[in-house]
Amino acid sequence: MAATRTTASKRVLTLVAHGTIGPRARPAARTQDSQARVVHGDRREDNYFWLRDKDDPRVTAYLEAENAYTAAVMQPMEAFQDALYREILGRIKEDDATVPYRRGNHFYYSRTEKGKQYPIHCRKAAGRMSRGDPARSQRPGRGPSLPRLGAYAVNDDADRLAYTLDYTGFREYTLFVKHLTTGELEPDRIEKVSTVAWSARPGTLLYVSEDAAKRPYRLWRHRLGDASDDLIFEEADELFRVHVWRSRSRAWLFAASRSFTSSEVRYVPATDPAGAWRTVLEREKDHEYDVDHGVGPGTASSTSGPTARAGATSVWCARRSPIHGPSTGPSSSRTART
Amino acid sequence: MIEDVDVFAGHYVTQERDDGLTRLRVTEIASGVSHFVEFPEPTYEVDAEPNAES
Repeated sequence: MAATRTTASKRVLTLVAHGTIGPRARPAARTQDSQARVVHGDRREDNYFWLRDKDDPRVTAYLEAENAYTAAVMQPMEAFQDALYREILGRIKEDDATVPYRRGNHFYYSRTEKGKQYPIHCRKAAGRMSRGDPARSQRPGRGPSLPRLGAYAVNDDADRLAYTLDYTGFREYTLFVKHLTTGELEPDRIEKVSTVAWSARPGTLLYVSEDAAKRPYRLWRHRLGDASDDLIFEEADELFRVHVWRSRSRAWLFAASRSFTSSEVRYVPATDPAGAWRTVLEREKDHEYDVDHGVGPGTASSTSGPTARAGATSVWCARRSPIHGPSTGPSSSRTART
Repeated sequence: MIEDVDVFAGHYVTQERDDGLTRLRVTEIASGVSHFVEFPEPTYEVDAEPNAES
């Protein structure tokens, strides 16, 4: 975060130093290419519509002029900014690590290193450390070299990592699969992926893809190496976003459709990703819930959070209910409602 | 107000918000008995990190 700021201010200072822009020339966004927009019967003149085109050299030039102006005005404060930055950084433990958790024969954790931008995702097995750093390990020769890591998941055999990276800066994530023992990437590439979960069937994973408005809306099943995937579900309601995950027990795959006020969760056994999905509880107005599945005593348990809405306040409650298996209809979960 | 739930083998952990603070309540599934994780200072920030253990 802080290093990004430093880079940005260096860039604008370079422009000023080259004399391309007067240090105190206050830029003004020109009002041009005025467009009238009518939304819900309201007519609006947009004199700045041209600023939407990120590739327009006029837009880039305007933003650079704004940056140069900011740098020039703020120049007397630079020493203070640097002191402030160093003070804030001095209070952050830069060499740090999360608490490792165990899954199978590995301990997984992430850590940060002094002066480095990205957390490093690691695992430790049988006393031997193997490091994976998906955010930095791949740099295709395109786009800015500042990828952002989205979703990541390790398969049941613990030899494949599925992860998503955005190289565009526009939150457009591409799914990659890495062979963890060889470090090689599988040839699979899937665009616009938001969430991913492995099934218990080797080589089969589920993912959600986004539409043009960046709404996660389609749930797919992918077999490693296949060029085409099976569409499991498409969320038609534009208010809902789809999310897929594996239960903590790893026995189930869950897929949720969620709006800001309502949710609907489906599930299928992790061993049968091509099987029929059941619904926990059908979507209802002003009723949100969430589900997970543990390995608790007796039968497995799940929790759900019903909301009771009073104005903008929602109240969530934790509830347990059994999942008896795919033959159980959603009616048993209805008892979770308060 | 519950903000998140993690289900473990013998317990579940709810992330709750109370007086503006995030609180972590650990509930034993079998008995329903729960306790809050204590923090040494009156104000703090706490987040749940990824944890795949069951």
